[in-house]
Amino acid sequence: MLGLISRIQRFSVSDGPGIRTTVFVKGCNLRCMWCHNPETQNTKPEMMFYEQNCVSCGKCVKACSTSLGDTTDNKIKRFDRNYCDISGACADSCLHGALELIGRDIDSDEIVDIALKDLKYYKNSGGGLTISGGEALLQKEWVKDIFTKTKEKGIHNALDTALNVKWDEVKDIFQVTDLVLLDLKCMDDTVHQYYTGVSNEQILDNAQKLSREDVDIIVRIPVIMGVNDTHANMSATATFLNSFRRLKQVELLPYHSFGMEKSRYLGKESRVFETPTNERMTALKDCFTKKNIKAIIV
Amino acid sequence: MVSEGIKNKIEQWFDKDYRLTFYERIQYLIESEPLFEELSYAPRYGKTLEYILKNISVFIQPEEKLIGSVKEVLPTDEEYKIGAALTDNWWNIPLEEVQEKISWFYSYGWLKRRAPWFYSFGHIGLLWEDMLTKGLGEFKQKAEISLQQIKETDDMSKTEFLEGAIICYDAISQFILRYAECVGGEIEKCSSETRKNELRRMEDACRHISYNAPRNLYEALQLLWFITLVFMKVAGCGVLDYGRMDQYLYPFFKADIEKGILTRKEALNLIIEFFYKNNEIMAPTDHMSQENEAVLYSLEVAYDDPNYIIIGGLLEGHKPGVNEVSHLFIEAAHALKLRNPFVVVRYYDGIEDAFWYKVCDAMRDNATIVIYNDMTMIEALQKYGIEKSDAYEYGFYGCNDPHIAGKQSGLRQLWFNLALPLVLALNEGKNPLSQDNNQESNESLYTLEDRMIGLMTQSYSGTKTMPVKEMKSMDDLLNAYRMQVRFLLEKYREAIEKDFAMEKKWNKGRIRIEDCFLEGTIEDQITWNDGGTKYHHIIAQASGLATVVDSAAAVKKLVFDEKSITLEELVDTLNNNYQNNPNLQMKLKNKSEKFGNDIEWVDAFAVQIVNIYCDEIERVNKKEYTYSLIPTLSSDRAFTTMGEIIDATPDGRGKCDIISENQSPSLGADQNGLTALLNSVSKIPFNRITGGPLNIRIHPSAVKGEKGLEVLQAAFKTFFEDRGLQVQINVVSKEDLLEAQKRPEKYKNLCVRVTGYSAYFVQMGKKAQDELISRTEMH
Repeated sequence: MLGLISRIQRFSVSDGPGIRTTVFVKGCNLRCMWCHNPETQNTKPEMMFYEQNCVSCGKCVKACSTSLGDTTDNKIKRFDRNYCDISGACADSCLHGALELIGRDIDSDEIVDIALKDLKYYKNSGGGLTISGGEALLQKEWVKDIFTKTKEKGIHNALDTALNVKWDEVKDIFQVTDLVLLDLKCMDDTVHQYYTGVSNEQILDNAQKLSREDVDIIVRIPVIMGVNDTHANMSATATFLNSFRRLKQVELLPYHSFGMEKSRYLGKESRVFETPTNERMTALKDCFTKKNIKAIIV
Repeated sequence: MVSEGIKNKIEQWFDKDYRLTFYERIQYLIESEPLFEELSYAPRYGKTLEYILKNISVFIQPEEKLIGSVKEVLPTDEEYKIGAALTDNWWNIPLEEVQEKISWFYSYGWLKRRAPWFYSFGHIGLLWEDMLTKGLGEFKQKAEISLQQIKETDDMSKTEFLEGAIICYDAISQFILRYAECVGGEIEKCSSETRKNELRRMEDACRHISYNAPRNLYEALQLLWFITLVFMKVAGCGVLDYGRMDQYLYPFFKADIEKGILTRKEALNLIIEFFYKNNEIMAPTDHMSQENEAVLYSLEVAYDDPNYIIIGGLLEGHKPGVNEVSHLFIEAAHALKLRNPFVVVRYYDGIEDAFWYKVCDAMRDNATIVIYNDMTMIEALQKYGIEKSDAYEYGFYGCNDPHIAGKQSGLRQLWFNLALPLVLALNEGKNPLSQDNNQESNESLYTLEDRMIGLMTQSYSGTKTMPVKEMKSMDDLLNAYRMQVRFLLEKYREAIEKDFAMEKKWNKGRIRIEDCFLEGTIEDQITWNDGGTKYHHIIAQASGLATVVDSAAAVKKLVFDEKSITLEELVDTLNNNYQNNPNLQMKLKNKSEKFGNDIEWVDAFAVQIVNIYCDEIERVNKKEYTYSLIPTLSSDRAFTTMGEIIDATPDGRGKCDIISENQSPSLGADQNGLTALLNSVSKIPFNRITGGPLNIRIHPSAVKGEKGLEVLQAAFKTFFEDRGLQVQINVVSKEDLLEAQKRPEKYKNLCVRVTGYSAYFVQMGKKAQDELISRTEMH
């Protein structure tokens, strides 16, 4: 079974416990303005153009399948997004690492094989496989196929999701999932809609349902100054999570601007936010610890 | 944990003027030159040592418990001139004469300040345990008995050898007694009653250990320190393998604790002081950056090369060796994070968790600790003639050379450039960079200089093998590669056997200080150099593995799988240094499969190349040879020099560019994460390889906090369970290294693992710094 991914990261140490292999799927139904993986939003392949590596040799233009080379009399020597049909031929031809085709279909069995390569590292570190995104549950059947097979091999499965999906369509995934990395953004729906493009109603409803499943949960919250870094928001989140019996911890991720560079390579607009101070982060962490919820700043 | 006193001294050490010199050694060496000229070699050697040890200053520093320091001064211009001229006076002679005097010399830097009648190059381990359980007196007695036994001999060189040794033992004993006198004198002057008592104990200790075996941990460390001081700073015998310190010190520690005369904390403080002393006598230089001002200036005999301390590991009978003293050594290394000494931890399956986590924690904090794997080393050593019981006792001296302390010869090496036979195999045995390609006239392929230094500095040509146009598969190419490796090793063996035959004649009775503390030398009246010890090895350090593996992968893919270019065309392009096809070079460099990414078919070549190398090494080891070759995967930092004799290679590497370093992938080629790198490397058949480092640079964020430690220990443990050989890490970001280049004053204590030694980053040359910065960073 095929799934669309952006990349696979081995020796991943920040997506669940231990040493993990993290698969980033492509395609998301949220549009968080601070997104740090903007290349995973689209459900189609995209070109990343690392302009600083380009030496204007013109190879990409010659290789281009839209016959850009013929029509322009070879005057254009660099990648031009306006003509791009995302065939990836230019990336194949580039010898300077200036072009990369993001997004490829990959067989679930290949993912299993790659995951198995580091099996011993998982065992020794309490790690495993994480499928992240994008929104992994948009390709639920594919994820389920992988998790079923990796579970058989004794691999710990973690699923990173925002849960903005129809519960009934995805709920069987949790039978083969050991840990859910649940991404929550903010409790106020107006704010949520403004910054992510979608309502949080379904998300929170699903989260409640998830809490009754037989699966560990780590809640991850990106903390963005002026968006969700308020005492009120974190306290509300803590109250919401209070009844989650298999909640392992809450991870607070201070905003960073790595996503901006990637947006530039994708030719996309992006918005800058600010990172909360360390003091602020500690104060927000206390909102959880006060309610006896373990919280860490990552 | 570290006392304020030592902390301050370390601070001062960082600001030490590199011109400070232990000038007394030079002064008394010069003075003694005419005094004993009439004597034969060994007695003269002994007398020279005695003269220097009698005259150099002895003094104690405030608060210290372990004593023994050298007096450093800023030489006057006149003094400096005299000191610097010595090397020329002694060694500006034809190479043949140098060979006649010393046989072998590692590098020209090592000739400096070493007199032809008083030299040692160190790189050796001693009978440390005997030293501590028997004392100096018994060593002397052993020599006296040996002398009795050969009373009737006609071979004067044997008698003289022993006489020389006895003078050396006495000289060391007398030197220690001078310290006893010195401490005694301090007692009167001291006003503190506590310190007075301490000094009395120290004086008593010095008197006792000047001849007898130490009675407690303190005396044991004090004796080891005196020996180190004499060996390194006076005799020039540095880069010591201290052997398994946690094992031979444990009985002292245990007895002291049981008697109630020592606490754990006091033991730790003593070890910290021992570490500190090891670092204190070092010059603030990086010896591998020979172009640096400080190195060029230095008048020292052993300036910054580290001593190795071996910790942990299995005991004979496969029993776990970690004990409480093992813990103390790791704690000391972590507390100080100094460049020296260099701690080697020996991993074994089932190693105690608490100890293992402690080791990994210290390493991620950049302590000078590396890990070797008992599960491969013990097996590998036995393949090269080391008996099983001795194999359990293995250690190392710098850089990463395997050693059985007390039973083995000192360093002799051949840096074997693995890329050279590849170039030869692609060119029917001809070397494109060589003028003279007449294979049959290659009487002695290796120049005298190359043999003496152990480095291939010339573009040798090889033996005739199959022309590339006839090669039908990778097997044909690899077979030609094997023939070239065989040819190069056979020629080397031929050449050095001739050297040895002559050396045996020249060397007779030429004692070196280390001969006094080895097994077999004194008993049999023969120097280690001539075959006195049980084991004799030439460390055959294979360099450039990844360059060859990546090249083989490129040929397989392009020529035999894709068939996009013929091997003939490819070789033509290489001989043109890719000038006629720069695109191909870019493609091979940037878009080809490389070693270090856990790609089965690529890594398979690493297995094949290492097996070929080890097979051929075994072929040139025969029972009748005194010295056998023992293979490691180690280039140190010489991979730059080694690249200079190598034509362009099929991995996209240009003519004369660097080859890959040590066990590592080609620079920056490993792009698939730490686990992929470790999986690739652990496929190498390390049960045939006896040393060599794997350098890994890790971004601090990947190993921070509790989670980071868990990750690191698991990564290392898995690697060793998978039978990897060695790891050493630097946990520092590229940004920090760049910042350190800009503001060295802020980073003066940034200590990094280079290859078989550590260095302070800001003391390294720019080239060495840049190499470190361009290593792949694991996130």
